[in-house]
Amino acid sequence: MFLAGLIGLALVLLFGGMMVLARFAFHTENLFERLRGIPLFSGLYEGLALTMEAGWPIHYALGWGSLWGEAGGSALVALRAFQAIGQFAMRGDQPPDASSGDGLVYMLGSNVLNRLAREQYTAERWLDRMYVTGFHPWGYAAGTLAFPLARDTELALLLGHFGVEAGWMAEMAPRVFGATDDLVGQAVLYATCDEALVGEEVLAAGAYTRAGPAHGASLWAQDVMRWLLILVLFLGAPLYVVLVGGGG
Amino acid sequence: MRRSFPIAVAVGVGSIVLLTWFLPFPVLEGLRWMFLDWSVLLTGVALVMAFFYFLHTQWRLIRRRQNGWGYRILVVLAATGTFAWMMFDPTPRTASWMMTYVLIPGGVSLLGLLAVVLTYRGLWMVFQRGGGWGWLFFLTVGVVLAVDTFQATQGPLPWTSEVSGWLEGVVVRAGVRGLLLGMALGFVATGLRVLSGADRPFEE
Repeated sequence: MFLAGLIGLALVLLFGGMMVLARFAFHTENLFERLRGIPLFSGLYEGLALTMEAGWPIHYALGWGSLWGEAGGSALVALRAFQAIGQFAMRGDQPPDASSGDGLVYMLGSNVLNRLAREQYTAERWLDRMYVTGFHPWGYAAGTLAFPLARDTELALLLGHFGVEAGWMAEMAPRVFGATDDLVGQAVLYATCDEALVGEEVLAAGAYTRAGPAHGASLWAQDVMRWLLILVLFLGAPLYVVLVGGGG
Repeated sequence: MRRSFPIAVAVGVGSIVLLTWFLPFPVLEGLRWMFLDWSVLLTGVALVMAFFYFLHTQWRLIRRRQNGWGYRILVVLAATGTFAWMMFDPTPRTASWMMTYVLIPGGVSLLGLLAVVLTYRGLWMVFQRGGGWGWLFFLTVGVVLAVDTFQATQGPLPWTSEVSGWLEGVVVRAGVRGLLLGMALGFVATGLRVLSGADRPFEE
């Protein structure tokens, strides 16, 4: 038990060490240029630019997942990407709406908006644009779906924790981009959105929105760790069969 | 100081909680449970505050008379009514009644409608993105699911149960494990960014 704990800690430290290495060994731009293309992100910025040019509103849904629990990772990434996308979206005529189904995420999202507003001197336009639209998944979906009624939302980005109710939320705008850490939600979003992220791509949103050099570095470290893991699996399986004995 | 203090607290507390997962020393365990208790308390406070923010924002939208303001009046009335009811009668019976007669029927009916939406969108996806292979994939999944549902209600068929069992046990499970392993790495990376102070969602 203690040995397993030590191995786990060593792996986390190795991961952290590789993040630090990538952060200082590579130039920030190099880290971002190494990223493979994901259609959602190229389409997102193009869609944002077109929507802003036409003067239509945008909706950013942060999901109903709490920071407290498994959904915390996607909520944190959504908040960080919100900052990067918000900075871009502030150039438009229409301030975007943002929604969350969790109290803490709502407060942190408001924080992000206030900070952006102060930095860009647009406080009066950006105030009160973050909403809690419901606390239960279905309540959150229903509350968020009421926004297009009010503002003719043209583009929506669902980034955070969503389950099967994402199928409804994908109907909230003519153009919807979706990403969640929930596997069922991912399948639903893949079928219903214009573009969707699969697997751990949602957790790479910070790097793809260029939210900071640490995001590029952590994604590089993540790729190295993935290859290590694949190597361990490929070597470990035959070793297990030889040493322990395979079969039913 | 105003900027660095919250970062130092987050990094310090986060590191201690992380260490306790790997090194089960009694002193660290005690600290972990203390921090977790505090965070539960803070989450509760955040929930109550979010509820009042929720009412406040709904009320503001109603006053602006935006489209959909009638719906928002209903939402405010339902939310305050439920809150008052739960305050006066905070027994499990009340919560259970709300779950059984409001939330579950509403959720189930929405799920029923969602099945229709998903079938339509699945076909749309095949037309839009699939091409020839998309059709084949969609048909294969459809046939496997139909056979599986049939088996679940009518009993196993001679050889299809082995095929669908193999598909579920090997192909699907391998795919899901691959996705989960990738996501686990992503979660570790996200946690490490917060622990290193690179991500500071709490900073204003």
